[in-house]
Amino acid sequence: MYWLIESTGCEQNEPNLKTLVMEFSFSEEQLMIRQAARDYAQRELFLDVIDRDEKSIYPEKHVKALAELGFMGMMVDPKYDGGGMDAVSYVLAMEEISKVDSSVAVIMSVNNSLVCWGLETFGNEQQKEKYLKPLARGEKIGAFLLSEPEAGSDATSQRTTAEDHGDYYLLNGTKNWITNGNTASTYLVIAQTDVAAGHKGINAFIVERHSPGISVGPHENKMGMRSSDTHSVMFTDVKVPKENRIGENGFGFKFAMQTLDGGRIGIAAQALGIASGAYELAVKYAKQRKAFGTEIINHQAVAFKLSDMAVKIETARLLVLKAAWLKDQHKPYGIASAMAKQYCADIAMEVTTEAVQIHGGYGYVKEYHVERLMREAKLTQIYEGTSEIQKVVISRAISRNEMNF
Amino acid sequence: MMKIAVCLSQVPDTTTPIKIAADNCSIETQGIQWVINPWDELTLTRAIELRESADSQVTELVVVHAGGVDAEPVIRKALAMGADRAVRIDTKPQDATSAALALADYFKSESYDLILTGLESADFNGGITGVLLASKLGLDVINNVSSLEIIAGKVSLKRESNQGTQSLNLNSPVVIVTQKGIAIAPRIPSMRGVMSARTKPLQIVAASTGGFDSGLRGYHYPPKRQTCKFVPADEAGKLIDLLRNEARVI
Amino acid sequence: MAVLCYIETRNGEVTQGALLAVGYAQKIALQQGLPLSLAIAGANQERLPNYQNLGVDNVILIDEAFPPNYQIAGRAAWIKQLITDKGITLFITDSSPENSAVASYTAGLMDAPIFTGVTEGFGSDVSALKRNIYSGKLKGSYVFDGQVRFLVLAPGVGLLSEPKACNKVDSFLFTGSLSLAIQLEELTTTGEVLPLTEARRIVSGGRGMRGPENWGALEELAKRLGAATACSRPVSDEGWRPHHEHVGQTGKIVAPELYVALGISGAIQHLAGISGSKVIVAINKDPEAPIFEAADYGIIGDLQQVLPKLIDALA
Repeated sequence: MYWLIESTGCEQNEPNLKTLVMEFSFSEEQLMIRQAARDYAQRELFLDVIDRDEKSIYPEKHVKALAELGFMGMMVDPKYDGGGMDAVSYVLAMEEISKVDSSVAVIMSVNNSLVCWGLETFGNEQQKEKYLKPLARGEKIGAFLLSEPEAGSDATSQRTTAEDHGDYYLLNGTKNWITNGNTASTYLVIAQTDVAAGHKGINAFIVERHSPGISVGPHENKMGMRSSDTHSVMFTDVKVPKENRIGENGFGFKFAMQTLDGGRIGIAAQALGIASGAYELAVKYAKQRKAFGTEIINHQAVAFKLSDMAVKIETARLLVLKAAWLKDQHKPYGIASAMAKQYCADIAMEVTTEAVQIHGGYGYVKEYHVERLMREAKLTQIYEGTSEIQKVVISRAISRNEMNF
Repeated sequence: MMKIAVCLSQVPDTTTPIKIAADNCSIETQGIQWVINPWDELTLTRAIELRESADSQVTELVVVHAGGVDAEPVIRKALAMGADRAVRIDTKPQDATSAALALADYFKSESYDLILTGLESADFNGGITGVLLASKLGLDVINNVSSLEIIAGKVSLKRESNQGTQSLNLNSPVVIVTQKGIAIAPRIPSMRGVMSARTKPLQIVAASTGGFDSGLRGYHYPPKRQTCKFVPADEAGKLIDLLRNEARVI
Repeated sequence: MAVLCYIETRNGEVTQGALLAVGYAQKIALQQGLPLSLAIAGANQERLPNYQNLGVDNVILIDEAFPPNYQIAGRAAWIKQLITDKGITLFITDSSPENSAVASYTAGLMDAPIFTGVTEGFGSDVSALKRNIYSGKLKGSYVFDGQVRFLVLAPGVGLLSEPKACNKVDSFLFTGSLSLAIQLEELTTTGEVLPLTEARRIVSGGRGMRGPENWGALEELAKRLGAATACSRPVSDEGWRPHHEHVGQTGKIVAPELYVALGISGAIQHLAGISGSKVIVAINKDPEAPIFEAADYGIIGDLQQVLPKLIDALA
């Protein structure tokens, strides 16, 4: 999807673009990508999603199959064995997968948006050759280690330390809530090297999962997305070679913030998928279920709920697609992605709650999927930047007059 | 080394409601979701598996479609799935016979070791295109094929008959009409496949057959089945009475 | 000008589909005032009286040397000669895959029109036919014109013929030469007693049966009804039942007199496989299941409770 917007004077920094066409359609490739994701999700993920969620079983064969199809490194340049696709295609695929299985979607999102993107954008050639290629092929899975027991939203106070020992760094500390914590082979770890320098003393490192000194805590017993593995990860005197540091000394905080900007688009798409999946189920149910002499979709109480849900989803979709488009156009997308992530997550919670309500008693049992979607929606409001943090980002942009995009 | 052609048809998705158009001899195309005919999709999947196998004997896999330019997205999906090249015969078949004639004409100009077709297309439901095509080309044809292998240049397949499963060996060239079992599920295009589909060749050839009258005089809707008669669950035995005395089927 | 009905026996027996085709052909021949011949492949001399009683004017026994059922091109050469020798202008057969293929190949050799899946065409003008299109969602009306015309009936279409003795029995042997290049390596029987497409009654199970361990009651019901067993696609995909039992768009298309759907929701693909059935019975605990829209009789209830009651009523 692409928008060519005539400069109206509201876009101060935009060069004057040619004609005034506003296009809201997708290319053939984008549609094929969306269809491929949909086919895999509806045909394969659908079969065991309830079981895996209930029993917290890692979706090993699905991750392998999706890797083979090329979904784990969609946007990575083909010279690093990626798919070379645009962010819009990625959003379309993420939405389709999330409609059925958010656990698989989050594994995909972390690998694509955080780990692959972070490495491709900021890593050097040796790092990309060694680590990015297997991640892009999905042969190895990545994890992003920022959160700590005492540091979630406030990432400036890192307690994990990375002491500079010349040709290696020594890592000590604990990271929390790590998606792919146990199954990842490649960790991107954020740690404090120079406490005195504050957030400018933070570095980002590529750490191999099986380095001596790494131990992984038990699998978290989560409210939702239970099929993805979430663990705390402990570092005790873990040696990380100097060549594994990403970027210049002290670049870590910027690395984390910029990478999370892109990660937001993936999570927004995931939240959108959760919402639209729940909505589609609610529509299907409302068209079949009869009460008081007619299908419940004909009762205004239900009809208006569905209408509100549809408008929220359409709005959310436009926000996330625009953020993806801005990223593809190499324009600043940080604010757009914050708006998309916050709105998609918040409406996912609203839409899934209503979807359960529309299903009545059936909405409360696992067999009908919507209760799972409601449990999953909650996490999208919390991780990769809480909705409140997104509001901080957006409101700061407002006060700095940076709302031009 | 074998060159394989898979004949593809474009049909409306099964879940799309079908409406008759104003001319009474065609369907409304507005809002139709077009897909590869399900039987052809499974056939193509098997052909791709043969093409991509480790010791593949297949040198080229070509998909062939008789239809208009509106079928090109579906043809490109076949390329994304894994075909090497596509040929579109520019014509508008009205039924299975006219499709077979257009295909036969093309295959006279380019030969293949194996021509694969699905059992029938979900629009005309003729079930004869593959066999008719073989007859026009003077080739042998095997139908009801549920399994296909190529071993040392020979075609080795299984055919379902009412006596059981026949394992057959034969030499190319031959036409094969497949049925259920030829592949388990349609191949999902990989991302690499999708990105390469645009660069793979899609040739358009003219159709020389024209002016074919399929005999069609009109479409109409089938009579509606009358509403279901419900029997209460705790009086289930009553159903047997109804089947015996009212419906007279037992 | 003459009508030919072509059938193939199953071990000498005339199949249900063939019987319906003979009846159909008889009706057409009568309306057109044309002689009717019946050509039988796989004929059994001991069954000759049965064949002679089917109500045709001429029984033609095709020689044993008739190519095997996978040699379609070879069979077509034989049939083409038979048609030309006997001056046949209308060729009718049933929907079995072998017969349908032979009809198509022969029509191709003779540049003759062919219609398959024919559902109606009893009028005095056999040139007006109806058949299902778009997987049964629509019907098409066609006219049928040509020196020799080929017609393949849809499954379950036709009627039983009026018996009438026939004394004219011929045999047919192809006088041309053929090179048959296909080798049969092996034949493995599936253990299918009666092909599903020929069963007159079918009891079919879906996901609602919960598991393969519950099939006992279904099989008992089928036994008491003299029915074949079948299943929906998810059931055969999960391996609960063998693949040859799968009824549906990409499985078998059946048109029995009675189709009983147990715990089948009625997805469009399944309905496409059973729409030609005369009577459909659906039993499902979900009152909103789409199958009830296609069924003639239905029970909303738990299969565990309903099945024993049905079985008892069929003592």
